[in-house]
Amino acid sequence: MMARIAELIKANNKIRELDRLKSDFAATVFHELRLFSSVNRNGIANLLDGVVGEFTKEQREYLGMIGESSQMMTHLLNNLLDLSKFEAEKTTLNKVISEIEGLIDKSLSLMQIKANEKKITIIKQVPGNLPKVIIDPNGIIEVLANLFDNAIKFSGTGSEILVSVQVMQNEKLKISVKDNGVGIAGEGIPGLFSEFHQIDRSTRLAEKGLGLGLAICRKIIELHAGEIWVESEPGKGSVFNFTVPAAKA
Amino acid sequence: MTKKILVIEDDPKMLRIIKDRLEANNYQIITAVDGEAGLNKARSEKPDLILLDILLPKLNGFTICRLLKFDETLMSIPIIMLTAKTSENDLEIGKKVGADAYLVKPFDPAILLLIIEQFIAKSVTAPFRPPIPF
Repeated sequence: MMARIAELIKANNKIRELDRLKSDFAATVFHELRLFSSVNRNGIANLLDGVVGEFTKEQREYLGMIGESSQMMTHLLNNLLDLSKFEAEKTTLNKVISEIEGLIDKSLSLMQIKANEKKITIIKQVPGNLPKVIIDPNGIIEVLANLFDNAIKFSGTGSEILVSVQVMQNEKLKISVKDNGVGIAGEGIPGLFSEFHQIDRSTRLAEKGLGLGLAICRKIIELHAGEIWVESEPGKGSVFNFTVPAAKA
Repeated sequence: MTKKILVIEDDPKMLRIIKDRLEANNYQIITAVDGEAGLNKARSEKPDLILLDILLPKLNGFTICRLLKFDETLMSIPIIMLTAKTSENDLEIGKKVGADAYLVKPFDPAILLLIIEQFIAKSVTAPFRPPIPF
């Protein structure tokens, strides 16, 4: 019996070690790919800004297209890099006592241009005297920016998005992002926060992204011992909620 | 007077891109493609500012930064770390070794120029306050 247990532990350790090697390898590859894509993006930026001479209108349009897809590639790589770090359990949060409203404002300012493009108004409902939260500010800004990004992506032109904060019984704060967009059918919800999940495979990836954003959000929130979930119905919009621990007064 | 910037970067393509961009903005650029050469050029040329990659052959960027910041004759030269690495850990180390600012590749050229301008306009007495905090 003991020998069998020892054997299983050994086998288990070996699998863990292999998994770690795989994640390390992935992180190295993504890092290299990021370097290549940096050369592309900064190279194109130099061309577009006329650093080495001027181009015709058509040439600039081509450069613009290459620049844009290069930018999307960088974005995807960044997400993959983030995920591989989570897998390798290398992500450490830098938790500090913060005010949630300031973080909401920061992430809103990151998304303002996108919202303006679709004439979308984002309304903020934050009660006064909120307890502070113990969080990693960069992580939470990333979660909020991802949720706003999705809400904008799936909302119609000229619609409204509501972000609100509520104090929960269990010494947590609940942050909700509500849109009036297309909504999600019940069967689409369970896998929504897992990697590479997309509800409608027929839609072009370029429009929707690869579905890594919510998986990253889930991992960040889990590292905060919080929860993230969605309430949604097709045609009636979605509410994405997450909780984070409040700091004891 | 034209200000002199030392760019220490081992990727020749990225080096060229940075050099062309900064020269187009009237800076004089000197370059090094490994850590040792970079440190030597910092000492011999006394540039007005240093752009420093982290992963470099021979001596890494953190070591160079620390050596320069401990050298009384060179410590006032602003150092901008420029790297593809993004982990919090790197930011922390960057702070500890005394880098003045930290930019992630691919960088926004406008922001790079702005930071350089702010540092150089102050024309230097230590200690420095970075214009973009870590």
